[in-house]
Amino acid sequence: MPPANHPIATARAALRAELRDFYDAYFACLEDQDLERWPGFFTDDALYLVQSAENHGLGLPVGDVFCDSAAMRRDRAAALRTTSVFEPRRLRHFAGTLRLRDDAGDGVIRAEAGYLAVECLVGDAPALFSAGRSIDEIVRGADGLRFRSRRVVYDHTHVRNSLVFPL
Amino acid sequence: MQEPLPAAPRRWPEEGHTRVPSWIYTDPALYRRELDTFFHGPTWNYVGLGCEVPEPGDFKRHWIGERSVVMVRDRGGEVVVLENRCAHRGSPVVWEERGHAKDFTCRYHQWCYSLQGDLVGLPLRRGALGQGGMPADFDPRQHGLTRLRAVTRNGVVWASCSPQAPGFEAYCDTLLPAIDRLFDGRPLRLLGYQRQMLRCNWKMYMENLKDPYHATLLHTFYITFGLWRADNRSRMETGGGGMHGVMVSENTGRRTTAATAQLGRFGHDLTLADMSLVTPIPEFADGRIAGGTLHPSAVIQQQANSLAIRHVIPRGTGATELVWVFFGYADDSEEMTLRRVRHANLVGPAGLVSIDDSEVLRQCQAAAEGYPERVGVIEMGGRDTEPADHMVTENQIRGFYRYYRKAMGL
Repeated sequence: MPPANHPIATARAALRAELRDFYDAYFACLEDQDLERWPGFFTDDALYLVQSAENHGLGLPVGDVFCDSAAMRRDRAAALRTTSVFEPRRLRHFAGTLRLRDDAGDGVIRAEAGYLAVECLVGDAPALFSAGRSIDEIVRGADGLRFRSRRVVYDHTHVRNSLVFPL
Repeated sequence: MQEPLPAAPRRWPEEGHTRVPSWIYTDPALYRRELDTFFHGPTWNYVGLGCEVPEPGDFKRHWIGERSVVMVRDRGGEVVVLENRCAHRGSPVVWEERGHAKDFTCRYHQWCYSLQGDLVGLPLRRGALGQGGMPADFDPRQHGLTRLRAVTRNGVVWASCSPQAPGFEAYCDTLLPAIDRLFDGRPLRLLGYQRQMLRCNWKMYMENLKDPYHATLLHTFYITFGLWRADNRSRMETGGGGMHGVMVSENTGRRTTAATAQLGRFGHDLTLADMSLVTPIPEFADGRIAGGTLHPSAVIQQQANSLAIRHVIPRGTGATELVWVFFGYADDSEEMTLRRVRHANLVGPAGLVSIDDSEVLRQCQAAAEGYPERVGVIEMGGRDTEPADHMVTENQIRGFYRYYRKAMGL
């Protein structure tokens, strides 16, 4: 390990801090249930997939959510906003371990980030809704970082009733 | 909420099968009787797909009712279904969801079973240093893993806990054509699982699949894009004396008719940036949508190009584990496979159609627990249980409860 004030260590610390800010901004958008802003965290042709560790481990393509374009993300956001029927809830996201993969020199930041989401329904005790990790590829554009691929792989086998808001 | 002890045995409302008393969703004693009468009784239950265990020695664990079972491909290539319960003291023998084994050895006392469930080894059977051991007349052949009646039909594995169940084909009755239509002998390709823990009674979920009436009113996506709506030609009927449901309809795409005005959730302004989400690639020559419910545990799904078996696992009076097993065919093009994956967005725990159901059913279960003595009314389409050539009917629900009352002695 280089010493803490070595340029490589400093750059790595700065990148980790920048990523933490990016994930915080993403989770804040989800917590605000600001579905219209959610697609803006992705590049246009980014893959967004939410699937169980079971499917991921078996290399199976089906997820609970599959969006491979901005159009699909906008459609999902619009559907949740205008057509879906569900009781109100709040979700709170807690970032877990952040593992930064080595720089492949192609301008893509590869990270795996643990997460926990807690769901509060009216009348219920707070519930652990989802725990797992996201396997992310993040790129830098003119207006900041965006996901070019985000696979949310949850550790549990089943979803507690319904998965309404994206993870 | 504690269920008060009833002062007298449960009595069904005198109107009969046009009424559903809410205590059927909340009564724990009834629930246990349902397990014995249905899931663990003379019925056929979904266990898995043969393609989940392709090689001899492959196994996968699953549930019939509350009983853990294992499906395994034996050395001869046949799929066998075994109770996942050591014959010794009842420990589950298989602790993993899936895997590959040459035999099954219980962790507790290492009783060892063949892939067919025969007890083939037992450490210290003859004792140690001349002491202990099993009695001389202990016969391992009497102490294997219980093997269930099982059938693999066109790649789908079904099992029954009871020798009293009729043969599988006879049991399926009018639903058999819909099952054989999706599972027609073409090799299957597993595409993945979605699993959710619903917060409602298992019957409440099954009713939802016997209820085309709600689908054509609640599910905006179905109505707006013609995937399932009241003014499409359809046929709704029951099978097996009322226990199963059979639904056949057609996909006509987006259109408005004289009926549209009553379909309040038709999205006149709903357009999608990517219409492939609701557009099937034609694949069945008859141009139809066909599916239904095989009592007590399976839903046969064809929704756009998303094909699945949904497996219902009761988890107490107020919870149901629902496993969606998505599949395609081994000869599907890449385009079709991608379309199937896209259409899975409509269903399951995050489904743009199915979320509505999961949420409504949770609310209904909560209401049943607060009002167990109240009664539901199911008279849409009339009061009989005859087949209907339309979907504006609750005939399948009436047919189910007519069967249920007889089977449960209510």
